[in-house]
Amino acid sequence: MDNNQGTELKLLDFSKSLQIARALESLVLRGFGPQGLQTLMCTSTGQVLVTNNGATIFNALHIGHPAGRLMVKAIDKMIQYTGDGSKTFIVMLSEILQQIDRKYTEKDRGKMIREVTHFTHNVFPVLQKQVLDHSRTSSLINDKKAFCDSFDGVLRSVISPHYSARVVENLVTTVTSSFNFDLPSDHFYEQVSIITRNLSQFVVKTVGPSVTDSTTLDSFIIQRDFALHLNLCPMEKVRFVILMCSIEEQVKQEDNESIYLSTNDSLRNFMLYQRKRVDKFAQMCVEQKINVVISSVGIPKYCLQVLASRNISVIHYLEEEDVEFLSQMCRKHVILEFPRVQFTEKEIFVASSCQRVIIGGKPCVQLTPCGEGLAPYTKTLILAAPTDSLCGQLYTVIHKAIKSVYLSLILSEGPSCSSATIPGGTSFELMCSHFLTTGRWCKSKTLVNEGVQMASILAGAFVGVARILHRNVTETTQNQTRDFLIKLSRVWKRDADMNSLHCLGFDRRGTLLSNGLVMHITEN
Amino acid sequence: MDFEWEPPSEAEMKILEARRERSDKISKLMGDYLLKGYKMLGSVCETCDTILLEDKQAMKYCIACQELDTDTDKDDPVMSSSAARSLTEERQGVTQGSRTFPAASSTSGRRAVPQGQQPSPLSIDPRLGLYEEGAKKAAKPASESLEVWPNPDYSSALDSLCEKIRWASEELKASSSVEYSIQLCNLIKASADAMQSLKSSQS
Repeated sequence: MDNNQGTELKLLDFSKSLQIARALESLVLRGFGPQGLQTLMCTSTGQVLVTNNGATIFNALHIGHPAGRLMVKAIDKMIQYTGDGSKTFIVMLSEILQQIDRKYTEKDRGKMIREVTHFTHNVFPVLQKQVLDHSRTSSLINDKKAFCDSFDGVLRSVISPHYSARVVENLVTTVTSSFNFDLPSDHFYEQVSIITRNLSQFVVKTVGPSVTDSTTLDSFIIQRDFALHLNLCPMEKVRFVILMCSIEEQVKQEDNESIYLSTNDSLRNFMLYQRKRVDKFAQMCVEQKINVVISSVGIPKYCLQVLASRNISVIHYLEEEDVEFLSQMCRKHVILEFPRVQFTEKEIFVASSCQRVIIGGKPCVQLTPCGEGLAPYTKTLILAAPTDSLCGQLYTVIHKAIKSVYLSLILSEGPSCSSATIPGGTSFELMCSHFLTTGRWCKSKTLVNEGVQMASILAGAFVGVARILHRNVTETTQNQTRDFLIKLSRVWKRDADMNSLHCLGFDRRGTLLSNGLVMHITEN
Repeated sequence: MDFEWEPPSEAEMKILEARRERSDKISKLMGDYLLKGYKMLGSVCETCDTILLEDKQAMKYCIACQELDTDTDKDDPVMSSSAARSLTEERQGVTQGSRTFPAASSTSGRRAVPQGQQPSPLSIDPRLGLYEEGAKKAAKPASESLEVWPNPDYSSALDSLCEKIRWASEELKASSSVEYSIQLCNLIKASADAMQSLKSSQS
């Protein structure tokens, strides 16, 4: 059988897929949960890696098998949206495949995989609604303290598997302080959304100090020194423009103009023309009271001297991403071509202060944009760690945490921003498993046989996740599985007695959660 | 048709369970090798259909064939000369310890030895015969391949060693003396070592 590229297609063996899923699962099993261990591994390039992050582990593996690569790509795609959950994904996939392997014959397995996929697509909206109905919600407007506690709780639950308690508290405080909780609901939601999508612009990594030295700084940090800084004191009421083009005229190489200019006197005339352009630009800046020029391209030395003579500071070689981000945040336009008569109001940025700062031994510029229509954002996170790779790991963890917080927010009509959380310790998994097992997902009175089978497979997968977490947080004993099943039966019984779906999971010692402990363990 | 399907019997279930366990072991080992930097290939082993791994020297490696299936063989003294040797050494250690038994009884008298009875020789481990076989099999490949060895000196040395081992095994079966048995075991061990050295120097 050939595909449309003419290469021969091979049938994928179910047992191979199961073997690969089990192999990938075995890599991350001991790192799962709040007491998860770090994994020491060697990448394909010979680099030694110590990490707890599932996505990092999977991406560092050297997998040539198509099914394996498909699994890793699927995890990557999911992570781009959720920020977290790679270990849960592979555990659930492995559990589902194992159940299909146990319950069905070889010829039915392929069909069952398709049925499970179809079933999950249909049942997950119902499941999501049930979970949201049973979540604890707190509104930013009506109950700000509970909202902030919930916010902190989500951050803490994501960061705590990676760092010690003292460091976790420090990081949670630092990250929380970078958000402005006094904004209106829709602005707060927009703020979190902007920070989540552009975190690289809001974070400055510094190598050297310890993680507890991480802090925040007001507004936007340009990670580049002033090319020419006239005034060592901080500037107030700064007006600046952003160039994405050159002030000079560019020589057109296709016309061999460079050769033509070098052979006769027109070179001198050309240079005089360039000088006039720069003078005109400088004059425009003076007339419109522009005191800083930011450019994504390099500005030649003689241009800098001309601008310096007019008391205009310059920052050049700025990254295009930073330029575009500033433009979006301030809702102004960058300058894409020159010459012109004057700058429009839409092209002139305004900042309340501009000063030089030293971050991690590196000189940077701290710029505080202001004005009407400014997008809501507040502070820059300074993440510190002893080495470059630890800095990278810290950034990944913080990114995961902020993404989790963003996904926990609901912007409803009003507008009202609320946070929806449920207790951690696999409460979500047990809740879903119970929901699927008791048939609450089926609206019709007569349960379809195949639907029951699919629900049973999914429910088993959720219980598998809970079992692995329980194993990782309890001491290793011979009766671990029996203990888990006893606790599970208590959870179901309590739920049946209460006739509700409040399935409380396990704490960090493997004990069943009681209502009093719920506040300390949260998940989005 | 569904009504033609019959549930698997208990024996079939056990076989399925054993296969699953084997597959789980392979998956676990595969995970360990992936962490060490091995590459998971898209091809499978021709012998056992397991997914192949490749190390950094681009050598292909099958976990099932090269690791899992040899797990039991390497500890079996019948199949493995090193296992046979180690068990023989253990046996010698036991017999050396028990050599003090008659002396202790004669000097301290704490352990009463029934009169008229010689201290019974330590019962010879019935597996000793198997160990000897293992040692012989270790020697056997060298002797079997003797015909392809071009050097006649080596072949005559090998012949002599095999003959000695054979003789020592026969003597060991018949021996009732502890000291003599120990000496025979030492002889078998030394002969097997010598054959191994001959084989490695020839290769």
